[in-house]
Amino acid sequence: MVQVLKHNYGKGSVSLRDIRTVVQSVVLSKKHPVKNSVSRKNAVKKQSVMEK
Amino acid sequence: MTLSKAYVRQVFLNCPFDKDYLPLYEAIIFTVLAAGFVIRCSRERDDSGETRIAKIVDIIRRSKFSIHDISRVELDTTNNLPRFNMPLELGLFLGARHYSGDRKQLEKRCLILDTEPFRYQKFISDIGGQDIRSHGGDAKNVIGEVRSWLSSVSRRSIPGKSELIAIYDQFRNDLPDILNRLKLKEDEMQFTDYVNICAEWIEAKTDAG
Repeated sequence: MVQVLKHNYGKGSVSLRDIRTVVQSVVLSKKHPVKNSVSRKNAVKKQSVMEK
Repeated sequence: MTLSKAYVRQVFLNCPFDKDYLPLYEAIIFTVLAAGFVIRCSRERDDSGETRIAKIVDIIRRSKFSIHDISRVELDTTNNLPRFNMPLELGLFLGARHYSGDRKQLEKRCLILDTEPFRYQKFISDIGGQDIRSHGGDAKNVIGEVRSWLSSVSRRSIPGKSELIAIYDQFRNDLPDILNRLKLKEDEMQFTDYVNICAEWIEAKTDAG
């Protein structure tokens, strides 16, 4: 994706800090299962190589 | 008064703000941000000391690009009269190119959207020769049209239509969860809230890889 350009629009109904915290949390919570499954796969691979 | 360097990346959005148009409005904002531009809109600031037209003129002056949706030509059900705000703001943008004396203003480019192709010829034929595209009232079409136009006028590298639609679908899937955690209902979201959520989501998604 292209780097997003931010602009200060002033006050909304929710603070930017709250939005940032929540958005990062939601994005990461959906990212973790994928990351974990990849690392689990890698761990299984490494283990099977070592066993050989 | 000198224009900021941001001028070449600012896109003024002039469109209906009604409930029926909301899916297109939100899709346009997301696309502009995901393409690496700043979205500007009359809804971005609520200063009671400033007239609406003064606010719009100032935003137009600061924006090299603009998107105008002129599809709301139907008569208002309450007053039985058409809404003229969108054509008025389009006229301001087109006029700004010619009456400013600033070379940068001459470089202004705009995209005009309508529901059906060539329908504009029946009610605002003077705009012929501009970039006029139709979206059929579909959010995916509007993403494609805005993306294609921005890529063409800015000559910047922007993700393709299919990729942008896929990213937007992911964002729409995450949005209810984000709003729930922020204790914010979708119809309570202000322009600033929505833009900040989109921008933070795009950045977080990019960082997450």
